[in-house]
Amino acid sequence: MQLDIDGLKVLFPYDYVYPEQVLYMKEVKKALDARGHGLLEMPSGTGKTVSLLSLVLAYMISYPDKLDKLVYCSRTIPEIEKCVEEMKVLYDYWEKETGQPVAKITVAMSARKNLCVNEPVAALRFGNTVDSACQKLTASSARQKRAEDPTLEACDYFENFEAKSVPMQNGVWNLEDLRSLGREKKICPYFTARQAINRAHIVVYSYHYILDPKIAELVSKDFSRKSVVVFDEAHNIDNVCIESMSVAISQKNADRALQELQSLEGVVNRMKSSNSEKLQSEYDKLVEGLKRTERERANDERLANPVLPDQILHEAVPGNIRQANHFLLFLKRFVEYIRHRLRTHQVLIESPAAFMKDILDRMCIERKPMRFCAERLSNLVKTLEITDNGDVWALSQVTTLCTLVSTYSKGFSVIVEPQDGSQLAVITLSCHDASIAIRPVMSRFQSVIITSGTLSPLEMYPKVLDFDPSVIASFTMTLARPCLSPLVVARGNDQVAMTSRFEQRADVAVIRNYGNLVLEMASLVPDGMVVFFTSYLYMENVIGVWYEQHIIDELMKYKLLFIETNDALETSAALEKYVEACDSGRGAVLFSVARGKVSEGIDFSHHLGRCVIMLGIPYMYTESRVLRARLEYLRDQFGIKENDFLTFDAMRHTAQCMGRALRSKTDYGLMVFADKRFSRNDKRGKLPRWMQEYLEPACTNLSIDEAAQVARRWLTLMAQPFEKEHQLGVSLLDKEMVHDSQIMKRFERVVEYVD
Amino acid sequence: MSDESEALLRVDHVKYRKAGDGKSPIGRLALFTDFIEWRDNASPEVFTCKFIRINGQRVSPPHKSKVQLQLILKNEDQATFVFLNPSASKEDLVKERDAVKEALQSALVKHRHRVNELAKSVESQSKQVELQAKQKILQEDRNLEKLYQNLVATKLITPDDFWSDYYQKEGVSEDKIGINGAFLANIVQQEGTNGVRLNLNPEIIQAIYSTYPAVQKKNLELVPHEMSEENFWKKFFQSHYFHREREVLPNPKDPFAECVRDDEEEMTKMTAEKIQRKRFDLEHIDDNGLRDFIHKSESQQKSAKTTLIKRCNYLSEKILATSWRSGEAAPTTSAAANQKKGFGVLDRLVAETETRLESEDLATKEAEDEVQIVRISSSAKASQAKYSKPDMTRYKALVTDYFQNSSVEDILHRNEMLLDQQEMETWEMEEAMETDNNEVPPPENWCQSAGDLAKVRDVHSAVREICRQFWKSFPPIDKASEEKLNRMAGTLSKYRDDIRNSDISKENLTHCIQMIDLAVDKFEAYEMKKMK
Repeated sequence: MQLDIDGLKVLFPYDYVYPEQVLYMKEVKKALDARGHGLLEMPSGTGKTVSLLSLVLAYMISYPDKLDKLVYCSRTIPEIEKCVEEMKVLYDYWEKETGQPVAKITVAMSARKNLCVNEPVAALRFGNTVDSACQKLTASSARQKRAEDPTLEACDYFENFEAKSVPMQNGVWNLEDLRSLGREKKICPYFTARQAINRAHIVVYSYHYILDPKIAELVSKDFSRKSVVVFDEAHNIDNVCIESMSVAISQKNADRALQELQSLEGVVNRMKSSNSEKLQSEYDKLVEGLKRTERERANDERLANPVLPDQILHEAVPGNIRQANHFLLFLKRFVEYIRHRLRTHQVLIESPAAFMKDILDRMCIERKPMRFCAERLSNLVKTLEITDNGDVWALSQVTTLCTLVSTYSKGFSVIVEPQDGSQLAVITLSCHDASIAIRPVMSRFQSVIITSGTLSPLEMYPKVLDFDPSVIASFTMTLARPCLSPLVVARGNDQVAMTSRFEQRADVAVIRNYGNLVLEMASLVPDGMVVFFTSYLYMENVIGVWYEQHIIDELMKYKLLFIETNDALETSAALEKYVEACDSGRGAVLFSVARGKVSEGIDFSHHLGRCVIMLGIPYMYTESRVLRARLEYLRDQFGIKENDFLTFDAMRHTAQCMGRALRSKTDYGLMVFADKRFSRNDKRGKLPRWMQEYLEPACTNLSIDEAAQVARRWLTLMAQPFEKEHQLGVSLLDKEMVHDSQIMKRFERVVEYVD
Repeated sequence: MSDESEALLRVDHVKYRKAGDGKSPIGRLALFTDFIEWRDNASPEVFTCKFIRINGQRVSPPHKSKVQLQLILKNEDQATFVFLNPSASKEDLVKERDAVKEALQSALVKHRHRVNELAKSVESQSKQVELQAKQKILQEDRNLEKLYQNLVATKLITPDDFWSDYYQKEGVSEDKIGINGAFLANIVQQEGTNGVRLNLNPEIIQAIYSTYPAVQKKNLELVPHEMSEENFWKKFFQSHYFHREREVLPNPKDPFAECVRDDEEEMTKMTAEKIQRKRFDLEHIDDNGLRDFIHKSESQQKSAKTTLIKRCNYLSEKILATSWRSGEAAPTTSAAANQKKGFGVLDRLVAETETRLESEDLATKEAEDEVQIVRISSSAKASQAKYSKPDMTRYKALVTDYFQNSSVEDILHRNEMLLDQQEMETWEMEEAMETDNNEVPPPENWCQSAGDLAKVRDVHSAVREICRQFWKSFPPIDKASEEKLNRMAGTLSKYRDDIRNSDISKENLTHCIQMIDLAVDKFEAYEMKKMK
């Protein structure tokens, strides 16, 4: 249907639209018009992807001079693929309505492991192994060698790509389309995509390609300023930013770095005797400056300098690290210094400045060469024709630390933790300021939209990301039936309060009550049920106690039990079996951990998750030194109170876990918040609006029995057939209704602005 | 005695040590599927031993100079073989001996399994299953049960005739019952004087076997040759299967020590298997190439609870897997689980949800009902008569013959002419409807009590059933159906007499009698024709 969004003609590929979607498009348009940033919270399952795509595509077609690129960033591969599929639907609709195909290129982009079609390489399955296998075949040094000795193995797909690179056709290219294109034309899909994203009008990829400076500099350098960057599912964006700027080096890795250094030395010496002019030419180049004289080709890329574009160095590399062996000596001193620091017996937190002073005093290492360290290493590795990144990765971690610590004095701290039991000693350069990584994105592109189902409390994001959005809005969910039922269970049937407070959580009575709650729910909820624990450690303890109390055995009477472990492979297997059990009608419970991989990336739509239970409030581990340092920084720099931030973080993860169960308006799911602290307004008030509004005041302080009663009544209600007609006019609009201002007036309250 | 090629394993240079005097001869040892054989190289002497006679085997300790294998027989006898291959070193000999031992062990296990199966089937297990199924059918359908009482219990028709329509042996129904998730917790425990008593029943044992095939394997291997059934289960309840939190140290005495290793192997195999549903593969969905490096290198420390968690997952996985397996006795778990799944609809649903878009709900789809076509194997629906090819031609010949020999009036006259039972039934139904609509006054007028009404209903349904059986085999196409026809005709006239003499008022039976008369007339006409 055709929508009129504040004067912009938008083609929406379906005959029906949710009122939220219309309002959402309006807000997005406001942000684009203002060439500013936006922060939008839109409930999951209300179709935010398709509304965003429809609006931006219409905007780009109507005003090509105002906006020429959409960069859509998502978290996981399925999300990326689904977004591109939505785009396909939209393309088809445009072509049907206007009679001509859309003259835009949409390209999805992902790591080699998802795109490679060279069978032996792709069969390696894991990201890093596929990457190094690919580099071994495609690095220019390897190809040069092959020119002399044709018997060496080659990647035909890459060679063909090099020989006849055809520009991308208009259309939508999902990962699978790229792969089949690669197979059909025998060209490498990965490098085709890498090349295509610069020209493409719509790029869909994961966060790291634009946020992590080590990758962004290589991949997303040439994007136009008139782009809109969308971060979907962005509730964790500050953590992603921080993670991309932090480095941790454990004792083991420091030792490994030293070994790598030694083997590098061997390679340098060998090269000196056999091919010294190569080293000489490298030296000459470095004299001219680090700025690469020849345009590097994508296949030779290592990680780029972690320092951000505006700080890119234009000067020449300092003399004392220009010579290969000098540089290695320099590195050796630095690694030794790190090892020395790791031998300490006390915890130490210091600023980068103190670290720099200490290193100058002890090792006479100056700031300037340190800043060039990362760049210099990647140069050297290239000269030495080392094709496997795995050979130097510990060393590249060290150089990243070296460069970062010497470049930034604010927003970072160095934390040294000594060996403690089985815990190895580790030195961490921790970034506290999420804005450092995202600032270049915010300043370079005209619009950045941050959106997710759970962003509450919204006012926190502009603070921690240090930006000034032109639109901040939160949407609620219009529903024809109360398909989400949040319940706060605060006490057991014995009136003992349920809480995961540190002082009480190990109490047997509390754990037993949690067990009773899970049992009670398992006995009345159909199909799948997901239980989230606050941490992995706590889950292990609780399971141990439950096993002794025979709660686990009881639970198995109702449903099969699957548990997340900290091994990704094991968890995936358990997860698949869980889904199988739900699909076959057997029913199952999944024990999972808030902040874990499951809570971040897996949707439990429909029968896969009819009930989610959050046992306790998932606060971060407050004893962590990294966290403490960050909290201090937030307090000093942005005036955010410690407690506010901790609660904010705990509540967004709670909301995230709860949101797993409800993925569309036809879905339904029970949300059980099992902690007495949830009944307090300061916690509850930080949940997303769409959850708060359906949390009835009567359900904010229930015992297990009362909750079971409410759930039982609600589940029978939900099990009734639910048709489109029921939704029409209430939570769903057709063509006439959208243009009827009377009806649209009804939905005024759906959007709420935050100042 | 048997073909050499059938041997599972053959080893040369083996000395068969005889008790008593003389030099033991050297020969060749061969292992077959259900016996072991040794032949002397020089003389025609042969030693064979059926597996049924073997109780177990023993090997010589590693430090002994001789490499020997001893079979312990049922009658306490022993047969000792010495491995003496001159060209092999001692290690090789030990290896050779161990190979024989392993092969023999697995052959023994297989053999015992077979024997047990055989014993079971002798117990006419299949009969039992059939009986149960029939009972279930009767329980589920009250009308059918009534009918059964009226017809079979009164010996009006034979059980075989009755069941021919209502019970089908072949055809799998999908309502296979899985295993209760809490089968271990459900074992009844009694506090005895000397500790706890646990009561096992065959269902629980079956559940344990299908969940942990390794336990069944052990049971076949050990019981009753090395320990009693009771002892075996005692050990089981002390094992990690029952106490999932227990770390088991590989104690060679414990029969389940080996199982720990096997299970662990299977667990790793399970995790190594590729995830079918990409959406749930955590490795797949993550797209941060850098993180791989960091995470892989830092090994996570193992905690004490990991084992418990792993075993909980494993138990659930196994229970789930059992419900996918079709009844075969020794399933190869992973392979069977991979090509699994009779649920066609389910696979489609999975594919659909995998590709489902967020905004799909908005699309106007034609409401396509999710229909799964399930074969109703045990319903009360009568089977359609299906004729094989020769039967068909015969039937056709009969009918054409009939048409040729009868006049047009005969054929058109409805009461005279009904070719097939289907027509008969439609007619019957029409008749019944007419009766319902016009002729008969409301029931309370023609029947005094509910009991009478029930009686009339019984009579009607009985008549209907016998008539149906009659018309089904009319006209007869072979000997069997002719016999049945005769039988049914006899039953019908007998039943007619019965109901005439009963205390039900005549006007309520006119229709029944009409139906019977029609059938009997037809039968007589047929008899006449046959006589000619």
